[in-house]
Amino acid sequence: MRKEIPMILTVLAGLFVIVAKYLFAVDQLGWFTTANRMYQVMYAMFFLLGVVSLTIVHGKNIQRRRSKWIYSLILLICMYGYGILTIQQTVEGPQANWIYNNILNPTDATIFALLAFFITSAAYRAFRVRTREATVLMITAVIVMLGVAPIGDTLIHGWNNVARWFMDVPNSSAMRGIALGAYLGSFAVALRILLGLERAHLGGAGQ
Amino acid sequence: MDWGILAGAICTIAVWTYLADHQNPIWELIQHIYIGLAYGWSIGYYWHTYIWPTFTGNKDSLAAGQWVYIIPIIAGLLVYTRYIPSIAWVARYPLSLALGWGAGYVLGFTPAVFIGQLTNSFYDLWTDSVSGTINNWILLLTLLGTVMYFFFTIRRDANPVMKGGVWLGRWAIMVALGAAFGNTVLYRYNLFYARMHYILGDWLHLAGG
Repeated sequence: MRKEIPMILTVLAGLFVIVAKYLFAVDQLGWFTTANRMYQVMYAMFFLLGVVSLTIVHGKNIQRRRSKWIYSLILLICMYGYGILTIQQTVEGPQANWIYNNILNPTDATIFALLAFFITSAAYRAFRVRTREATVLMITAVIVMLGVAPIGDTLIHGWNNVARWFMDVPNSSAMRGIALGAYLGSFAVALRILLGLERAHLGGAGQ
Repeated sequence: MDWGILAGAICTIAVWTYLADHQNPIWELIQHIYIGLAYGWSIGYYWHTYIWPTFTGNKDSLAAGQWVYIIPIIAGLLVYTRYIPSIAWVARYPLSLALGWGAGYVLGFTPAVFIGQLTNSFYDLWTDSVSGTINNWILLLTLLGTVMYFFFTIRRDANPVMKGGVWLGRWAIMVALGAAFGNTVLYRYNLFYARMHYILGDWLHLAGG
């Protein structure tokens, strides 16, 4: 009962989408549009899962006065304070937008920019491995970097054409091969779910 | 003084302190502020994009008499039963619906993309130009090699075609990953340049342009 009904629900939901796609009558009746909207609403109701989990974890930190609990308090104040503000005036309201543009956005961009340092050290370590594969990887990376940055074409005239060839020919075909592999993998997983062979989602939440 | 730029500059420098020490208090502070604000933003976004319009506001809302939407609201709320141990299993119901819908979507809607990729891979192997012909042969062979690389159901050692294809595929994948790596490095440096420009130009007015 606790596993069979969810299994049936999974199969029914999946079959509904497939039937709606291939039988146009379902879409003409407007059922699929309504069902899709219902799915979006249900999925949107999940959005508080992360908020609840963060509240539980950081709430316990504060309650038990664990080390660095003050950061947990700051996190919860920021989350609920900004959450209430954005609910009150939408995410594009004057104060909400100010916080987004001047705190959230610069912090986000800087954290991603920080990866520039680590990706450089990763490249150094990859190059030190000295396998033939790692060498090909690094040479291609250098060719592409010099081709995309203006310095490449300044140093060697026509270098960006070499980089473009690498991007357009071996890179695009290998990426397409990887994408085809990923598509086939996703089909296999989807089929396993609908056939009831994949049941990982039915465990973990009590028996 | 532009208080917005000052706030952005302080946040930028606070994140950079991570480079000096991974456990310094300024980094930990900005990290927690960032996570809190990011979740706070998502609360407001989901509320105004999905939740509130379902209750009121448009023709697909409860206020407009569309009572059918009470079903996804209740189904969605059931997921929070996972925090109540005695009825935690109820959370499987909405998760199963979401997973089934996703699986159906993959099987029903993504074949169009898949088939598009496949049909675009039928290259003209004898073109008017020599370079075009060579390029198309390279495209075809590296594509086949890459696809063969992901075949795990056929023994590679026993079949010489598979062995050669896998060998070619491995090199093609290395080239593709190298190109992706190069692009990623440049993108990150671009972001870093933008942050430096923000500090030195927008805030301190030491750099123009």
